[in-house]
Amino acid sequence: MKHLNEDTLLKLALDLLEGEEKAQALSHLAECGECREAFAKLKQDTDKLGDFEPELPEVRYPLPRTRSAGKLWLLRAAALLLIGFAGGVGVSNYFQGDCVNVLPYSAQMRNPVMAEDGLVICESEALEVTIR
Amino acid sequence: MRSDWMLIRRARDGDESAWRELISRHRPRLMKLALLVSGDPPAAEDAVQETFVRLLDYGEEQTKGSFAALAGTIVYRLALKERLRANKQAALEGFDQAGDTVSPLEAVLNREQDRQLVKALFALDESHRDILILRFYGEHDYSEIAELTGLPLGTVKSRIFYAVKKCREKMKRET
Repeated sequence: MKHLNEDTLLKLALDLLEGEEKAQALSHLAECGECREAFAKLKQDTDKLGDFEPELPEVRYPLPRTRSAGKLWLLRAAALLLIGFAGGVGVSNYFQGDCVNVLPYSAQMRNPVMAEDGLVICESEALEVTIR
Repeated sequence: MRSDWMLIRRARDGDESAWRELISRHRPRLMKLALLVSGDPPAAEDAVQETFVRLLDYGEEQTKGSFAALAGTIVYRLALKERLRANKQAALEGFDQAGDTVSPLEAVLNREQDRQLVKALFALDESHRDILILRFYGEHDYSEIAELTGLPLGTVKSRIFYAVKKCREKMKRET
């Protein structure tokens, strides 16, 4: 049996053989233990070329600010404002009868009375509030 | 596991954890490639950092090939640029680079195996060494290497064969 030479084995290990040449080499390997052993050794040697393990320091690369990251920040800020406003209105509705300052200003009027000059006067537990 | 492209999209939107995950995943391999091409650790670090910044501009739809190969291409070009600059500088100063390129790398070599590997690699001329580096560290197939280097596919294949054979012989002699 004619064995595969080292160059052929190396080409096989590097995936440089094609077509009929490759098929014949693989067929021989399937039948020849000696060539399989030589191939395994050669593959081990070539794999070492990809086994470089330098000492790498720990580093942190800062994430650059991108345009889309800026837009996302604006969206998030707008969403927070909206949630804050909705939350404030919700709180004022929950505490019925209290005057609550939220954005924009709102107040719960109790017993509102229209005075002659057009002013609206209401009462609260804590203080007398005049709303225009 | 989140895909590389998803991590890039999220990093582009400001997600720091996606950014860190991407770097953790690819930095070791890219540093190895940059170190072996440039021969200079600080220059390699700069090239790799710049690579990640540039990757933020890429999307999956416009990219041919894998994310890993794209990253390898960018870092190769940056590291090559640095090597050419250093070679030019050395030539102006009348300094012979051959055999001296290994020395800056000594700072990052801990294992004897790595010293032998680097010595064998730098005994090759750059045209053969780069093909080997791209094959083993760039995650490029032969046709991608041909496109990146501007060489015919047949030339790439014959150079990788020669480079690996020579390195293997040299490393065998050293052990």
